[in-house]
Amino acid sequence: MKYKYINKYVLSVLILLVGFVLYLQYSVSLSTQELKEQEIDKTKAYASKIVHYIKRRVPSDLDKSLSGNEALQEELNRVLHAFMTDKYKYIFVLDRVNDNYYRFLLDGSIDFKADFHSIFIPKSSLYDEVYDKKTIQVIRQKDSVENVWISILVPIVYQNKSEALLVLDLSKNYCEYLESFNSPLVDLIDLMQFFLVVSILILATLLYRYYIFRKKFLKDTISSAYSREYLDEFFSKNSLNQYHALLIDIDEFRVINSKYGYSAGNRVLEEFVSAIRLFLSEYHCDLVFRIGGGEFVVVIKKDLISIDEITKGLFIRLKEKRYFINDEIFQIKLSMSAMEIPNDVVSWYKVLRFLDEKLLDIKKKGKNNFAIIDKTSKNDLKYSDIDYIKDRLENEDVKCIYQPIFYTKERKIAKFETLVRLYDVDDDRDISPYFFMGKIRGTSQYLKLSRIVFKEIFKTLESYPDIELSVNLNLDDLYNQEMLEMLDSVLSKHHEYAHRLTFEILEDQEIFDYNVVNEAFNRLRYFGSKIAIDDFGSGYANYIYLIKLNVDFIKIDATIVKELLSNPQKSKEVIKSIKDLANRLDAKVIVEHVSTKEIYQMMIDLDIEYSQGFYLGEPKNIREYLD
Amino acid sequence: MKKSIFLILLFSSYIYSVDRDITAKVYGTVFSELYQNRDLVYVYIQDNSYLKYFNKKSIKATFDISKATVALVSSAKELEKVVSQNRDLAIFTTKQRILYKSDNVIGGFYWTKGRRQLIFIEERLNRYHISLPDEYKRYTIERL
Repeated sequence: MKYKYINKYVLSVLILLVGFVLYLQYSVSLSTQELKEQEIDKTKAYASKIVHYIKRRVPSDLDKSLSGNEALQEELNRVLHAFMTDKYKYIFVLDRVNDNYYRFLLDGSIDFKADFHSIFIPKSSLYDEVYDKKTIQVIRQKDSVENVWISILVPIVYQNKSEALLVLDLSKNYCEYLESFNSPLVDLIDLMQFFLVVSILILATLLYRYYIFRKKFLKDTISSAYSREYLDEFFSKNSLNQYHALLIDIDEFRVINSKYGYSAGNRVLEEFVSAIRLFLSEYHCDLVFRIGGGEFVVVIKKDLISIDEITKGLFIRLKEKRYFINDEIFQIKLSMSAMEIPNDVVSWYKVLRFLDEKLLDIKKKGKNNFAIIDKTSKNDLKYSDIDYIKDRLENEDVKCIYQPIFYTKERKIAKFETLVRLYDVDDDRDISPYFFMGKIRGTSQYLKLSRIVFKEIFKTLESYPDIELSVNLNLDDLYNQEMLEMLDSVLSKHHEYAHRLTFEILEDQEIFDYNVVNEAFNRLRYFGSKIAIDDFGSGYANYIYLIKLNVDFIKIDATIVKELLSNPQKSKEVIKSIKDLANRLDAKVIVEHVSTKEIYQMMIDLDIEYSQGFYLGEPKNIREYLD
Repeated sequence: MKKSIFLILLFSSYIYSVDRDITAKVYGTVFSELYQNRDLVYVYIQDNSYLKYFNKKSIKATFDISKATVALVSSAKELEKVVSQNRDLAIFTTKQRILYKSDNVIGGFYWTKGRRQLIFIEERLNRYHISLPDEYKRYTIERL
């Protein structure tokens, strides 16, 4: 689980603060260093003055002049002492005896004064260098000499020969005194550093607490899968088209809860997720998200495994897994839809919606199965997006195509069934009602679509005065007052063409109030339109319709027609009986799905009035049939 | 090993900031170097405070001058006492001036102008048949 816990702005401010403190520290240190260097230069000049004084007082042979002349020693020691201000710790003069050691000639100290000619062995080789090269040298003592910060070594040269050297020690106290010049700034920097450290600690604590909180928030506590929130976040930060997506639903998960109890259900979820994770771990992946009760999403990078392998492999693994709950071993059933997320898809929700629809298909077909959405085009996803559909309707990108319905015997076009498509302008493609009809039915968009379609239908009827058209109308529409009013309005407006229009009534539910339906039929018939029952012989469209409803046409369901090829005798009998019954009730029969010559011939033999199917004519622009 | 310890103690910046405690440890190292052939060196001391620094396996402090291998002397009074009791005993001093007061003083370790000074006097070392390793030559002067 990757997440940037530190906001880039907070990090920038912190870096700026740290940078500022470092800069201040550097500036103060530089300023102090410059101050010290200036003081060292001054001390060099001061030491040179002392040497100058000694040389003036003793113009030659310093050692010889001092040896045995205690008065001169005393005088010069006093002079050196006089030069010792608070800055200086020691001032003394040394004479080199040989390469090994030096002797004291003069010492400006009062306490612990070095005796004349007492031995001094220097640690640094710079003493010899000063002596030999006759140049001033600076020794930074640090902690090597007690209470001394800097030693200035100045050669005392007579006739171009070093006869002695003066050592002037600047005290450590003086160094501290110099450093104290910038002490308010140093204190400020210390304070800022303290503040920064405290801030960083507080920030670290907050980040830790935030991390813990996120961890709880982004993980489902029951199954330990990531949460839906994390899934949304994941795809807001990762490119969709790099992943496969799988939607898995445990079939009848509620039954597990009710049969074994919630704790058992929770254990199933936990083990279920563990099993998914175990499978995914082979590909170094753990992206499993719980998005509903028993519903999970798995995402995995495309380059790790193919969509077929992951789907089949995971389905088999999960299906075969056994759960041991309450002394009972059982297996669960699951439905799974999977897809390779196509390129150019920008919304995870569209992918999820698409997977969800496919999952519903699987469930409708009996559950406990999986479907891999092959070669999922971006168009499929596009068309399943309700916003896209709304845009098409808004732009009236609607078109009607027409499939001819033939007089069977004459094989002459009797009328056309109007079929509606949306139009994808960008890709110059028709969008099948499969993508949009279910989504918009019952909404204002459906009414809008109906208005556009009827406008188109009457335009066609007006353009081609010799044709008749039929159009599908859902049973639900007859209960919809707005729809009926719209139909009244268009039929009234185009009443002169209304008698050339047949409404084919589709239904997917039982009619509970035949009076309402008959009344709606009457309103449709008012201007001469006709009524057909579509898909007769399947679902709810059965014989009771013939008793209760007054219809002009009966359109036999395609499933019965399809049986003509595999089960011709019985199918023929059924169709024949429907035809006889319909004719006795003054209704005519239309057979759809006439897809072969053989079926068409059977329709002729059965004396079916009207036939419709791909064998006779595909849905096309009406101009292709009439112009 | 002892030499390295000695050199570390002698030259590290740490040693220059330490006081008597570390100084006493340096004495211990010095005595070990001076009497490398001996398994046990007895250092005659008159100041009790040094006692705790010479209680190693090879160097022990003693108040009995007859047992002593070498004496550690910090004042003229102490020097006088040592010389009066054992005229031949080698002496190591903690004060520069003591170097000049007796030929028995073979060397010293003391502070001058804030700087540590370790000195051996070759002429006197020879008298006691003590030879120092080469590392100590730079601290050795022929004679006073």
